[in-house]
Amino acid sequence: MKAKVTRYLDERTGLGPVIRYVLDRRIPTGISWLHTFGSASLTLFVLMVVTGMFLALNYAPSIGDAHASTAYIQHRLPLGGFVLGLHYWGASAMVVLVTVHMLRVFLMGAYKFPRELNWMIGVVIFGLVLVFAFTGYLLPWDNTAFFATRVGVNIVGSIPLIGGAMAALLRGGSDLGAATLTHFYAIHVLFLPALVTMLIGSHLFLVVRNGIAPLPRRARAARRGRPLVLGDGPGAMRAPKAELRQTDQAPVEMGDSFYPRHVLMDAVISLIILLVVAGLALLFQVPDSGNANPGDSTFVPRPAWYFLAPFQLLKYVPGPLEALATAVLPVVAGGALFLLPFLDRRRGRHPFDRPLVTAIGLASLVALVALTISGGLSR
Amino acid sequence: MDTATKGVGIAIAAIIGLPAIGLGIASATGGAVKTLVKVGRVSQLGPEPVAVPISYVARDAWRESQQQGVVYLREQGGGKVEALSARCTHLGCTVHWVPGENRFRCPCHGSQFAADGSVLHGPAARPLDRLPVTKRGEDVYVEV
Repeated sequence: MKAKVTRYLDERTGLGPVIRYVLDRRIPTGISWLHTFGSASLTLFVLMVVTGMFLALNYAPSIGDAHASTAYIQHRLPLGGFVLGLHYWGASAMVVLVTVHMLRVFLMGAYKFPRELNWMIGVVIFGLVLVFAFTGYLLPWDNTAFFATRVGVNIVGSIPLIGGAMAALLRGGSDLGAATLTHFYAIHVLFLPALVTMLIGSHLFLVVRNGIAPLPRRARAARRGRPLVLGDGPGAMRAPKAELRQTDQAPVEMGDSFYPRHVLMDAVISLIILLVVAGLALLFQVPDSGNANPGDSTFVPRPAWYFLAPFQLLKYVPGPLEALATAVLPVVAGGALFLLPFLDRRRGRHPFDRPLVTAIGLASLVALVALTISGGLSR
Repeated sequence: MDTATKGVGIAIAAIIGLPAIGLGIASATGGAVKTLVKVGRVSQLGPEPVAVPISYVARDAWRESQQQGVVYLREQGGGKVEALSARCTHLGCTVHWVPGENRFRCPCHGSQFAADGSVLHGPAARPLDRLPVTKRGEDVYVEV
């Protein structure tokens, strides 16, 4: 029966060979637990989409109803508090996982030829994950959401020249209100999921097309071998020599097939992360600081932990130089991250073969973590 | 290894899917909440239905709103009170009690009901809905 159904579908879709190609492709030796964070991020994305769809059944994106409908989900509906918790803690887990995944790719120099485009797609997805987090944060319409978002949008507004227009576009006007909530809701549940789904599709396609990057070796150990062939079948082509000099592709030792060993590793890590998120959702209620009251002058807004670094940085920057922190730094840092494959064109993928890039990357990470911690400790 | 992969995959699908689908199903239990509304005293009622206007705060999911309506009450003897919804069981228009004819008439499509709510004339196929009645001493409450 199963064979018949498979054959019926194969005849009409031709998907069988595609699936077998993806699962049976051989991956380089040494691909292991460090290579599971991307698929774990994908699992979290599915968690966010599924929990988000079901939360939307009973959420009303209007300033008169948003807080009450969120409380209704959390306290009145069976499983509501848990599903809200999965979505809330899943967001934090997503920021962590995507960052760790990017860090792994960075340290292993896997953004180099022929994977430059996939690195850039990944950086855009990372940026959109932060926009997801920022827009989702407002939706419960409690005091924390309201005041933290007002600060966040004003930071956007302080960017010279275009900031004011960007902030007004985001808010749907000159101050946070009814149109801001519908804007954030539409961005969060319509624009971003469509955009990110397309980008994830391209990201995965390129992972299969270009293969998982082999573990980096020191440049002197990377011997000259067979010319690297890109892709497979009719789309296959030889790698150009100029780009090959930036990497240590050849010769690649191929190991097991992707399925089942690596699929199992991916699944195990995904499951562990889901269990952690579910545990957090069971142990800690999603905080609720009461229906947003714009007139409350005593409320001290705190951003979500993943936005503590810029929040803390602004405390150290004197007023006139603020644009440096709100506009120049993010554009320079984000731009450098996006264009990394073109900035780092030296031979070798091993982190010790490109000490400057590795040092700048790690120093940025340390600064980010330090700012986040000091932001978390300060009152 | 194949079995292990499938097992872990099923566990992942369960954690992602079950709570969310459960919430979706559970939201069928939410929505409007029934409330008891005081409609009068037994001694004010007779065997003929009387229209009693009601005004109450309804809880609908996360909202509370002021609702107006009308119910028909009558005393069936021995202090037993019956409450009928004024909503026609055909398509929901409000029925009127016509004392001379001893029947309810629906102004929309001509359905007619007896004093106990039973159908005298179509198109309605179902008797008028009975509303649960609670008595506390002389006071009568209806669940709407």
